[in-house]
Amino acid sequence: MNRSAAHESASKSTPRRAALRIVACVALLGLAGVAGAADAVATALGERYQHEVKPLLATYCAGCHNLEKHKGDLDLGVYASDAEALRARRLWKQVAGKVADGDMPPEDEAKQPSVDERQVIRTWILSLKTLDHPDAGPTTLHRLNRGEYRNSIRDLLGLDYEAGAGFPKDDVSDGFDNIAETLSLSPFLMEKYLVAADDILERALLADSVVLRCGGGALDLIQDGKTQAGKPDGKQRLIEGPADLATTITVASAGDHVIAVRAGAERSDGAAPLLRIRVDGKEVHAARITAPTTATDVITCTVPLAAGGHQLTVTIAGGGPPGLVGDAVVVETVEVLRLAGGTSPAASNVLIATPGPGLAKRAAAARIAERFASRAYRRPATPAQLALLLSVFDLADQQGRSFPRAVKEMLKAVLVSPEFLFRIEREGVADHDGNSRLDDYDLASRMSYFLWSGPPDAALLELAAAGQLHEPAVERAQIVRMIADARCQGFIDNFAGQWLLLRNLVEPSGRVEKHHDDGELPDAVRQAMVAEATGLFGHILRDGRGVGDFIDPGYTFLNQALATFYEIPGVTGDEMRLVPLSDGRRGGILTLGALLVANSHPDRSSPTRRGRWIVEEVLDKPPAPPPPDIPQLQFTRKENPHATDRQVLEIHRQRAACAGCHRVMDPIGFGLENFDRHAHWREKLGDAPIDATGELPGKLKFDGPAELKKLIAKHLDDLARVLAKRVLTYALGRALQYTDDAVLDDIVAKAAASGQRFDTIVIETALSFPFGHRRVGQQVADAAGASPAHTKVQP
Amino acid sequence: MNPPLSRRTVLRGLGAALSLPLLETMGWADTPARVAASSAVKRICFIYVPHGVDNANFWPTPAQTDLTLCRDALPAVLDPLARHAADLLVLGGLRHRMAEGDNRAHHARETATWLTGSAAQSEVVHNAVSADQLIATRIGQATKLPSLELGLQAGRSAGNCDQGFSCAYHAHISWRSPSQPNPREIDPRAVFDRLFSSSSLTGRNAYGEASLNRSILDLVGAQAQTLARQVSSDDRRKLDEYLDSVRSVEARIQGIERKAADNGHAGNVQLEVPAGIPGRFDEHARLMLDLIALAYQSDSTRVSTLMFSQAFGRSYPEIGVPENHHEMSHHGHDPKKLEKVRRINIHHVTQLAYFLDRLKATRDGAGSLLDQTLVLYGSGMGDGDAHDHVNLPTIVAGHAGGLRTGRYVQQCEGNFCDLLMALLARMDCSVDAFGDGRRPLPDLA
Repeated sequence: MNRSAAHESASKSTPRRAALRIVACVALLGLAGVAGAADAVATALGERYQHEVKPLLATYCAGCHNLEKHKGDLDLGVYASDAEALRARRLWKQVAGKVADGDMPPEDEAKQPSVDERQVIRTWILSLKTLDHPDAGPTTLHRLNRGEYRNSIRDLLGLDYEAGAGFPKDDVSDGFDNIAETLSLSPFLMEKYLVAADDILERALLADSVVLRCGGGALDLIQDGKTQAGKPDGKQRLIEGPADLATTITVASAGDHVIAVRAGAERSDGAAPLLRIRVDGKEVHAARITAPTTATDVITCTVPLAAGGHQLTVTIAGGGPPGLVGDAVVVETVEVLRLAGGTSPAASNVLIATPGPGLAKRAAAARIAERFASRAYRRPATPAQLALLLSVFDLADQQGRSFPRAVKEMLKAVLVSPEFLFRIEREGVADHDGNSRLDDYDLASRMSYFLWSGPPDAALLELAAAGQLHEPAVERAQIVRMIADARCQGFIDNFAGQWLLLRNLVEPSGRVEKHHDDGELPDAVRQAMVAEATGLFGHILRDGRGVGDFIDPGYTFLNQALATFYEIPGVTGDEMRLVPLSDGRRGGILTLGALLVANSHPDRSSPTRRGRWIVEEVLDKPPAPPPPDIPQLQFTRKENPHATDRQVLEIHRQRAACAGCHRVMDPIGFGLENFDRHAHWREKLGDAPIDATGELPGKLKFDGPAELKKLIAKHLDDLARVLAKRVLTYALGRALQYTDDAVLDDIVAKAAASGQRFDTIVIETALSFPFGHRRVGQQVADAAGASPAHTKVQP
Repeated sequence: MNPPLSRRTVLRGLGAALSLPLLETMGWADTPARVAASSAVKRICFIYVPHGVDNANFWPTPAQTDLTLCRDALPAVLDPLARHAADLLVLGGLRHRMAEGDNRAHHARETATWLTGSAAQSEVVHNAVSADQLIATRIGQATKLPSLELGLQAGRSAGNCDQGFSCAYHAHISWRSPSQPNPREIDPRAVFDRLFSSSSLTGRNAYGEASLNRSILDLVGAQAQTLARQVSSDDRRKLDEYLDSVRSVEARIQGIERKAADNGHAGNVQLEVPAGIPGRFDEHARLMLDLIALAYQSDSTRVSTLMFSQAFGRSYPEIGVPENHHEMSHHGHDPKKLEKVRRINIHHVTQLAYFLDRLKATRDGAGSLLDQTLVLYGSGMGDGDAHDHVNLPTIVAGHAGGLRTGRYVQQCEGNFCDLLMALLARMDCSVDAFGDGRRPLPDLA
């Protein structure tokens, strides 16, 4: 459902349209009339159940699905009253599928309903949808996953922080690693966040600072005209009497710098020793060392420095009148920090204020905090949040840290705050269905983490601030802009990387059988295979191509390494590019090298795995799980010692328990047998020529990948629906539920109307009802799932 | 006014008053429940292997009830443990009924149920607190790390794992709460740093500045509690996870500081830990086991879990098994595949024997570390080919809490959860019920 036009649908079936008319009427009535009109709809549907549907069920189904036999854990007799029947909508949906596909009643049952009778049941079940209330679905606080964290840091600080190296892997549910329910936060990860925050800020903001450790041998000691070169012995050193500490520093870029000297003194009389800081011979600061050696303190000054080398000298003069000796000084570190700006444009956007005449330290820190926190939290920071940050600044300042270092501590608090690590959405006011429209800032974040795997940019936040982002035209324009933006690679890599199993190809854990591949499938080819897949996916998305291009595009993306591996001539160089193909061997997801490899065994190709992926991800027919007591392929092989792999599978398939699924999966996979486990083309297996003949449901026979693609290209509706399911799951970051079916119907209908353009699916997903809404409190439509016959068997 | 300090005080007050079940039950309060240094400190380690074993070569014969009398005639898989025969129990007939569930997702449950006794659920991630975490709650706060979770393999990153069940179930045996699995560290260097060089968390940094991390956590934790009161109940669950983690890291920092104040760690920690993850299973496993032994020796932690591999398996080219363990486990009684499974089983048990060597060789008080340690080694499946959860291959080694070791018990009087209850009791963490367990397994004494 689209929230700009709820319940609007482009479905073509007549009963559906009739039902829609009813709903349209409901929509026209005022709020007061809603309940009454809905009752009328329910009454009409109840009557149809009583007079049309129930008699058919009694005739054809009740023989097995009754209280005693309870076949399939199902008793259709319990739905005696209309109200009960209407509540069990989730169950009816499954019934509709079985009846429409002809799976039920079973073939060997003598009494079979006519085509018309099947249609009566089916249309009644489809009409039940009109009783459903829109439901945004359960919302769970969404922690940033590894990729999202990395991109958020990239946008905030201009630093590519490979968090993946140290953070634990996010667990996958429903095919993706961005499912809120599954993204948990352990103490282990919290610890990593804390350490990472320090590391990130140090690198992003203070990387070009110069730190000289006195004990680390960085400073030469000049005393009585004698130069004693610094020794890297790492020990603190007491300096007695007047001395110079000197060194040459290199300043990376021009600007105001803080020079911070951490020092303490042991004093023989009341006066503190004097410390002077000189740059290129010119004194820039002088102060007395009042801190004791046991608790050193920092003496700082701010000086403009040009880029390049400078002579830095710290002069220590005795504290007392001439003649008195005994002053001893410890200098721990001398640090030169760039005060404003940073190592990148993004970092310059962080250190935006410098303390100086007219601007106190704390005021400068407050400005920095407000800007940074508002960007990191993806909405304006609240006074309470800013007060917290300033109290961290105060603490660091009181400890004697230089301004940039105190700011760093303050910003660390931002990066470990829940407002940064989670997407915290504001609770709105519930409508009568228990949903509320998302706040514009929250919508901006949902959009950006969906399409960019990263935070919203300034344009989105400005529209959110103006309260305009949720306006359909504005939102649509933004989605289109976001898809065209380079950051959309985040969606392409993460979605395609998981849907097309690309990650299994390049990540170490997916390569447990590495030894098999050494020298056979070089890393360059692996990486090019991944790039081929993301190249195709990105092209279809960004160029407004139809989903048919996923199946039989007539082109693919290659570089020299991959073209050579595929034996396609005329491609030179490392960069991937679109290459038109002359035959149907390659091109499209069915024959992506990456997917063929991912769906192989370590030591051989797997027609079953390949077929299964296509059945599930292209034809939208998830096979049932294998039966608990799997008859072993090995027995079949033993009984038929001279059979080929293909023959063994064929025999295996005839066993009743396996037949249901393998009958469908294997014959599709056979069509891809020309590709070995590395997706390399082969004509022979051993001495025998490859038999690449296969069959699709409906007894559609084919020979080889090109013919397979031609047949599958007729199933674009199925593919569009699979894509809509996967994209919606990814976009919402949750498992789909019953009420999402109506949303999918709408997305798929709009895609069909656009000529099956894939970008339509993505755009309509972002405009869909659950994407723009939150469920508030308990939700009404849950009752739709109630199905007394479907009790779970628990131990 | 000193805002950080007063905030911390407030936070402590709230921690006790707020109804945050997770925080309370996990016991991460600031109370320094130190165990007297001289009293015997007990440790426990859980080592997990997937897919059961080659049963024909794992179980002793019914007559071999006294393992010390038949050291030289042990079945092939147990043979590497011959020198430790007096220190272990081989327990037969243990069943994990909760892992059988509704006959789905056997691989999810062989892993996730092993230490939790709870049937993993599809659609949402929902398990139960694992036995190791119950123990960590009791004895963990006395050490730098309440518990240590290690693995030798990262999780899977694409594709579904097991019929709609989250991959979280495959990847974790240790569960902090029903929805919060403990991530495993797989990089030995990172484990070492976490255990023994904690300067990144606390202490003075390279510029001589005292760490503010604890104060920062105090502050953000306090604000998050305010936030938790404003969000929906669903969101609050996740915020509670956050708060729990924040408090836990705070407690850890405090523990490190306390240790530092007590003048450092017990014993001189010396271990050459290379950077990067060793490619060979056995090298990797031994490094991790070394680290666990060191952590016990230095009393940096007392509770650990180690997953030798995961349900999706791995290969072991170093012993001539380039095939995947999972695929071999579906051997269909093919002798060639069974032979590979046996080799893998022996390879795994050899690492266990190495670990017991290490524990035995380390002095602890009057005896060895093994005297004060319990090691549970086993699998959540009995027969990987049949996907069953009966007669789970189970070895208990060590002497903490008193066991009558050196025996093979062919048919234990209870199920696997009863065994976990018995181990919990020996770790001074008795519970009235655990999963489908009803009383501590009597066979250990």
